[in-house]
Amino acid sequence: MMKRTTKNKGLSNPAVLAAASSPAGQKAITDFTGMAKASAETSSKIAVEVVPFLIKIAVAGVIIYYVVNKFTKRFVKLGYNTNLAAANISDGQASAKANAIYEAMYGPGANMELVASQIRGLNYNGWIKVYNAFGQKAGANPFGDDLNLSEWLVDQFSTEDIAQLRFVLPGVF
Amino acid sequence: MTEKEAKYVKIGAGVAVAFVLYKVLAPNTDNGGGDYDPTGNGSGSASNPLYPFNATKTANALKDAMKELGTDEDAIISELTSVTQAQFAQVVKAFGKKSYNPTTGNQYFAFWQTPIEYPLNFWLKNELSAARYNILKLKYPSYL
Repeated sequence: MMKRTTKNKGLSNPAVLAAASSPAGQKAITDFTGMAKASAETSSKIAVEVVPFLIKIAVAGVIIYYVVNKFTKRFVKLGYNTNLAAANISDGQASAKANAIYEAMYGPGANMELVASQIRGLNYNGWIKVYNAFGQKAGANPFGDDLNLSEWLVDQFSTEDIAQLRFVLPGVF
Repeated sequence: MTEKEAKYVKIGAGVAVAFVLYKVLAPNTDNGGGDYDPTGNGSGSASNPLYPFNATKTANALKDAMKELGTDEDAIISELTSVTQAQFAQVVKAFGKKSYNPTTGNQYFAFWQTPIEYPLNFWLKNELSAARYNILKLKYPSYL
């Protein structure tokens, strides 16, 4: 078993004080203080250079996410089928129908008969014209994505109502 | 980055921007699905290739859905979903007039009653709920 020569520890230890008082000890202390100072300066320099960089990256990331999100969720107009007859309504009529359909669905309750009366008799390209005129509108869920006309219809009406709307205008939604 | 590399980066960026603009601005066309208008409101008289049309068969199906007490409204809607207005005219003709008791809603008559025949629009108006009949009227305004 090792025998202890003193009970004093740290700076209370006379040996440590003697070593610290010697020229070599003073030099070591000076070197250590210099290193600590240099380390603190380096850390400060890194903080000054890196933090703004990280902020820029974060801001750029948010902007890119916003732009990509807006782009991927943008409204894409449906194309007309040139193999079929041209739309049997004008642009103005399509716009009026789109507005009437939106008003029939917006708010509590949705008027299926009114929507049915607006879409009846449309041919395929006529439906495309109304769909494009409707575009995308905020749905009932304020935190949800904007919905196109087909999504609005499915969102607002029961299965039975949808079946009746599909009876009036089959094969398009 | 050398001047040459910068030039390539600019060209690449230009091509990417042009591609995105083309995708956003180019007019869409969708010529899939052949020359059949699925709405049934097209100018052609072609019938839906997925649902071959037979006026007599449809007329009989409608009669079956209505002839007994109670009406299978869903069956009527389902049977007529792919039937265009022009085709409905053929169904009306194929249905013709059939004996119908408006009081009981079926084809049974008491021995003292004289069976009277009615056309399809009369049957439909009596058998369907007002809401369903109005939906049919929206689709076939010329015949109901």
